[in-house]
Amino acid sequence: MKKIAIYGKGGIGKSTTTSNLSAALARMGKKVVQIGCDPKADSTMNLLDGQPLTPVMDYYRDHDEEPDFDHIGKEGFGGVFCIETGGPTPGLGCAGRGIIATFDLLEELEVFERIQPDVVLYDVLGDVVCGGFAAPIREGYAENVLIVTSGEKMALYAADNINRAVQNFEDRGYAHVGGIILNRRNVEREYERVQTFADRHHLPIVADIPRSGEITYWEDAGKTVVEGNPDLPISRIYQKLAETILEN
Amino acid sequence: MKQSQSVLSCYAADLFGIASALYELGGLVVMHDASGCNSTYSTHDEPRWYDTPSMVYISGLNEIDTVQGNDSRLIDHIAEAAEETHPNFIAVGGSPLPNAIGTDFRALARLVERRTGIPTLGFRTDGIHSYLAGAGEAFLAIARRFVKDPAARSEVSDTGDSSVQSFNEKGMDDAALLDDGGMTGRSTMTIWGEGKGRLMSADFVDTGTCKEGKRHIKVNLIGATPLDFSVVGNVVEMKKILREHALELVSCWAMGSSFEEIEASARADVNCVISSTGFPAAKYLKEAYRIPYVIGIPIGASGIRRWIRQIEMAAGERVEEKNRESARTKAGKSAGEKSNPSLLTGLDAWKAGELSPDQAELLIIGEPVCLASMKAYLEAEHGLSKIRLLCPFPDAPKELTAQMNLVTVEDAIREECKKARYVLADPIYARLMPGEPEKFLPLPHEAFSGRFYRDQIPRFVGGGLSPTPLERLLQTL
Repeated sequence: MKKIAIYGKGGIGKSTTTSNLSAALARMGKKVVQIGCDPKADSTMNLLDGQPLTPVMDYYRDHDEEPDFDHIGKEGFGGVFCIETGGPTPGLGCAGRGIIATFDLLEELEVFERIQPDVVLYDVLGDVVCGGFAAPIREGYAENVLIVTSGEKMALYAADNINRAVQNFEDRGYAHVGGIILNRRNVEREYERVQTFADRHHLPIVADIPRSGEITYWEDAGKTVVEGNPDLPISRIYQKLAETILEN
Repeated sequence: MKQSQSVLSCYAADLFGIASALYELGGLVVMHDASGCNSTYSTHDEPRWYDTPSMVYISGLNEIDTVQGNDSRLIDHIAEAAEETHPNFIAVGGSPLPNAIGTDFRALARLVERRTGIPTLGFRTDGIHSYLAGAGEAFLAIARRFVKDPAARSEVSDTGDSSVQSFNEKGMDDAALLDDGGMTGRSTMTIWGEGKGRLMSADFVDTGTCKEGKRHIKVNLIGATPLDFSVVGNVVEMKKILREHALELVSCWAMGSSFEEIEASARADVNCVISSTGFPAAKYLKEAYRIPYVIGIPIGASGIRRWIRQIEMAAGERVEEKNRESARTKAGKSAGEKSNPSLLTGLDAWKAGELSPDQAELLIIGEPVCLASMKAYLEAEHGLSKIRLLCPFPDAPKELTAQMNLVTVEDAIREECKKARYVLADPIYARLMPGEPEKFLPLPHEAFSGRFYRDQIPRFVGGGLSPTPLERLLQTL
């Protein structure tokens, strides 16, 4: 079982990348679990025909008890098992604790043992703002981190922060950064800027995803572009990324 | 609000279970919390605190360290304390506060161990689970980390010669550490019969895939803490029963045995699980070393007979040493490395459970192994029937609660008490029946009422329930 956490600046395209990666892996016949670790709870929407999934934290709030296996998540495109941690009412509570509570529940319900996934993808909120948001990279969870960034200054700044945070945690037995996913925003010398960053940190660029109207088109239809039209060049890039992850 | 408790207390928490389980093993036990909570532990739940030294510390967590997640100060303090005390190991767990901010105790343990060079155990406690999960995790961690492969112990031979001390001959206090005055030398060779009885039921005996042939029986007692047995002689009585039946005690987890004896536990032919807290470790030792286990407490003469018979049966099926080694290599690795669900994660703390529609002659409330053993004793020796067992622990091992009602909500427990003709439980449960004192039979449980009724805790192992509650019960039935 490969377990990978996807980090990156807010709005950089983590959920789009993660969902398309899940869809591509599913098309290869792999069993995938995608866990959205963001109070916005919109990570898996495009694997579920645009329908929002009831987050675990919402279930707790509405039912005053924990969800069972049948209510913790839902199967989406290609059998991808989708889970959203969700979070507290904005302005209240502790979102990081919500992630930890959800992970505890996954363990208690033996979700991975029952599903037996080939790949688990954690789609994590942009900034590691507290201990809860580092939970996906703790021992026993993700073994590798992929950082999504564009060539924009602030995206690279966030990527640098994430990389340093993960490095600081290495002596705790946490995950390692495995590479950079370049999600282009069409800024000048974008590849060179990201390449410079990657070289400085000795990280590979594992995918170069161009800006594409096809992604937006299919997301408007509630789908990933991989599901909508797997033959498009952009879909084949996600497919290639999926192959890279399975190989390495 | 259904999970609220209006008159009942709560059982000792997970962190206290860990401290209790490890109390006598020469480790540095650190409770990560604001100062003050250690006194709750020491004054309420730990009778050995007053006469037996142990290195149980509180970290003195403060607000700023909490906000900043400043683990480095805790690590510094642990390293400083370890340098002074030279513990056998370090154990660290936390209260609800570190849990709320997601403190990663497994990572902390890794950092402390790297810093000090001392084996360190990290426990993901939350102060919400009970001592069953805490002590259970502690014993399991000891089994995984410190129990040595018997094949590597050259001083132990297959003929029964043993350099490990067998029993505490001198002290009658459960808290007394084993000294060099114990029974030594060549162990008695005894031929055991073919017992067919069950201590409680088939579900409570797991002998694994073993083989007959070994006749000299060595046992461990696993699951001994004052939280379940106090220090009134219950554990000493169990050791005495073993000795009277020519069984050799390898170790007692963890009252009256040294750390080195615990390390040598894999020498045993049978593990005796004497409370729920010993069950996870016994399961692990079966996976890792093919040591079968029996579960139960010898209460009354009939209970002693069944207990000994079950030990003999399990030992008779014990795997040969060479097979054990082979199994250890394969299964042990798997058991040790597999990411088993932690006892300290899931918890449905307000589980109502399945209530019984029937009236019971006697309702017993408490820890599962004690409950089942007490029921067997009362049925066998006093002819009682219609006994119902109520386990109030949502985190008790599921394998042990199959034959009892799991009820944790106060109102539901009250209803069960109303339906019973008599209730045998810790005196605090009498608060559920304020107008019916005549139907309540007290059996104080240290893990529930702490020191409040300590002087009334009976020695129930061996001879059976002490006269006071039992006589009253028998006179009225």
